[in-house]
Amino acid sequence: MWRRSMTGRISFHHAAPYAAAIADGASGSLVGLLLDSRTGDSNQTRTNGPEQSVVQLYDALRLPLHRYLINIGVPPQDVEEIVQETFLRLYQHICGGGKQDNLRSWIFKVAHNLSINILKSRCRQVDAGPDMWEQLGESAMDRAPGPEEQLLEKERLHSIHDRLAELTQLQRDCLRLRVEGFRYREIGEILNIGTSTVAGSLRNAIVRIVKRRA
Amino acid sequence: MKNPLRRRSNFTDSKIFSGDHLPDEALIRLLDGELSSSQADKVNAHVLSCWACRSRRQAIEDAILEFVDHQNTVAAAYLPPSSEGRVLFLARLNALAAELERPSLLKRCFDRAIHPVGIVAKSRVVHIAAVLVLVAMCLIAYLIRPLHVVSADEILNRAIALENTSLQGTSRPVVVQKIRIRVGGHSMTRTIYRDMTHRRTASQMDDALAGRDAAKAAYLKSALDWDSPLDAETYRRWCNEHAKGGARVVQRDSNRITLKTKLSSGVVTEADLTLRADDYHAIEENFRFEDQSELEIAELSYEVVPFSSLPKQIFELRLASSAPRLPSIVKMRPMLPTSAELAQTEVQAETILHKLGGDLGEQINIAVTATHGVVIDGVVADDMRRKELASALQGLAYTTVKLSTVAEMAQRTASASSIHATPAAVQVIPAAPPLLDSELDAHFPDKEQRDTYVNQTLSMAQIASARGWALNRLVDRHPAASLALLDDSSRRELQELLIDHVSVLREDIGSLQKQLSQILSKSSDTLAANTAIPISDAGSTAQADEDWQERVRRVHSSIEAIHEAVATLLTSSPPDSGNNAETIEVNLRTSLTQVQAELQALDEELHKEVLK
Repeated sequence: MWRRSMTGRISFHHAAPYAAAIADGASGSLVGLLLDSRTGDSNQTRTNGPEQSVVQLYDALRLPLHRYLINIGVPPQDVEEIVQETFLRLYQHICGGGKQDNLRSWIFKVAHNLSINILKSRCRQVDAGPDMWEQLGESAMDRAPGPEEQLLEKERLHSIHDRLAELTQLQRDCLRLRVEGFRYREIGEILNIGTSTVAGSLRNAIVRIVKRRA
Repeated sequence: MKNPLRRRSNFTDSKIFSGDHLPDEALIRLLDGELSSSQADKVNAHVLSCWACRSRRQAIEDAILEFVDHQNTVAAAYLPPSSEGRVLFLARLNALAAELERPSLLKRCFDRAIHPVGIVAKSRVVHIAAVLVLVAMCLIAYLIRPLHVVSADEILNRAIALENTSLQGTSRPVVVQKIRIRVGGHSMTRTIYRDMTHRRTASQMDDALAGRDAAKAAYLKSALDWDSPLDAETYRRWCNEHAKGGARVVQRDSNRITLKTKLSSGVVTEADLTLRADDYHAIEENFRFEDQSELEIAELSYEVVPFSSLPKQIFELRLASSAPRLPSIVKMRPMLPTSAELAQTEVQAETILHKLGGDLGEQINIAVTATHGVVIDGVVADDMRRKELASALQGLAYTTVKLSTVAEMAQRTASASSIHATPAAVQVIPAAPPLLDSELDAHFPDKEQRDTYVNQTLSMAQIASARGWALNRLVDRHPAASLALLDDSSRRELQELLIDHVSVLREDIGSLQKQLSQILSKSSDTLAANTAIPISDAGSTAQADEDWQERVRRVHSSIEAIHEAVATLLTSSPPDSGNNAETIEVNLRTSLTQVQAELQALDEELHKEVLK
């Protein structure tokens, strides 16, 4: 996974997908599914079985999935819905005896497909529009201390956005999944393409970004 | 610990070190942990010693770093608080879990139906009565159901029949169908040409590489027929193979009917085929997979045109079309071997036959055809010999062995001749004594000794002739074009086979020469007969540059002449055949000397260089 270490260098971390998913989450502890009595159903506690696994994965992967969906252009108001729908389908998948060898990939794949279906049905532009960019620029600037740094940060973000806009959709998808720590083979499975296509797309994308930076 | 996800790609060492510096992909794969440990070591070692590559790696790292920061910044503003949405999700999950654990719809209906009654009276009689009422209602609903129900199977039958009818008005009809395939956000278009007369298909695809890959992957996953999309017959066949229940018919609107098939197992969960209501023509196909992705095939255009209106080369391009490889579970058409594979197999077969002496006079032929592969047929002495040869040839790929025994052939000939043949009149031809009769008598007064000598000499000539013939057959079977198909290993194998024949043949000819010197007259033992014509001066300048194949042909021809001469000199010949013993003897001596020289030159050539 591409991560920034304390020294600012990029280092690669890898662990088994499920373990990585758990470690990645905001709350990785074992949690039972304690239902609110206001739902009117029951005060039933589900502390084992597929529900527990799904809740653990939800807690672990919710934020990475949010980040991925936002970055591929899903409108923020739809993201939580896609995330929840994905994990509900995961529950059905597990209950139906589906394969559980790489659930993290499975979750991203289903979320990716759901987002494509939603975007297609609503005929929305996949990439974020200028309005959203202004908003993102502002949110980034809020954390910068001085006006000069704010301006530099804003220019930097716009510059990266412009460079990303020059890439193909496939190259952007491969980059974003790589940021989420997926291996080439897993990216290929999620996007339904071959591993060599993934390697080629990443190479072309990175080379292009490097050249534009120079 | 070995990383289970680390799969080595086809990124070979040669790609890493193709020049003085590392390619970008090597550096990116190094950072991504997608190189093998040995490759990573090499790349790291190079980076340590090369400032240019080190700075490029740093630039790539910086670009990645910037991209990761950018992605985090973009998403940061929209990441929800940890509690937000979680409560809702837990409630939805609980509802879903309860839903999955709920009783069946029938039971729930039944419970609802008897619920009011249950309040009034919970007796067994009331329960039974409620059940009877429900059954009666079901019966009534069944009896008053709409009578004009068309099954999916019937619709598919009509679709198949109407498609055949639409072809009838055109001579040599070719269906030209343009379709769009969408899968996972990718899209591609294909134009398919189906020659309905000759049952062949060709297709052209657009250049959307990612779409093509995704489409092929989806086809592979669902075991669909790449050549027959939007085809009612193919859809029915696929459903029969994969779905347990039949398809459900849904009228989408007044113009379209959709056949929906749900599958309980496998990667495809739902398969739909949409047809036009007025002519039952398939216009759309939709496959939904277990991972919620979809494969959509939609028709953009469809027309039936005569074959003559299309360019002829369309169907010749079929081999170039990149149809997806089917998984092993799918029934595959047999793959025909390539010409190179057949040529290599032939050399292997020849070597095996040579080791068993099957290439020396036995009636065994090797034929190679593109459709039947390597066919070895012929007649052998008995069943034991047949088994010996068949078991040795058994492991060869693309090879068929059809050997008969002499007894079997005799039986066949007898049964054939019993029908057609008439007994041939036997004509007795008086034979003259051998040309060297007096010399034989002089050297071998004992008749038995004479017969032994004659038989032995004839046998030696015959063996030499058989080996010369085998050598010549190898040359005939492997002209320059065939040699070009062989790989290095097969070429070496053939070379060793030729060298073996030549070296044994040299010994055979030497022995025959010695054997004949006992009986041939002194007068024929001239200097000219015992001096070989120098090979380079043997004729025109073109001969000096000749290849080894030409030399083998000349050796074969000379050995045949030697065999004939020996037979003429030592066996009875028809009277007045006009043979002159002295001339034949001189020619025989000359041929033996010349063949020895040719074989020596051939042996040197074959040892000197690789066959070409």
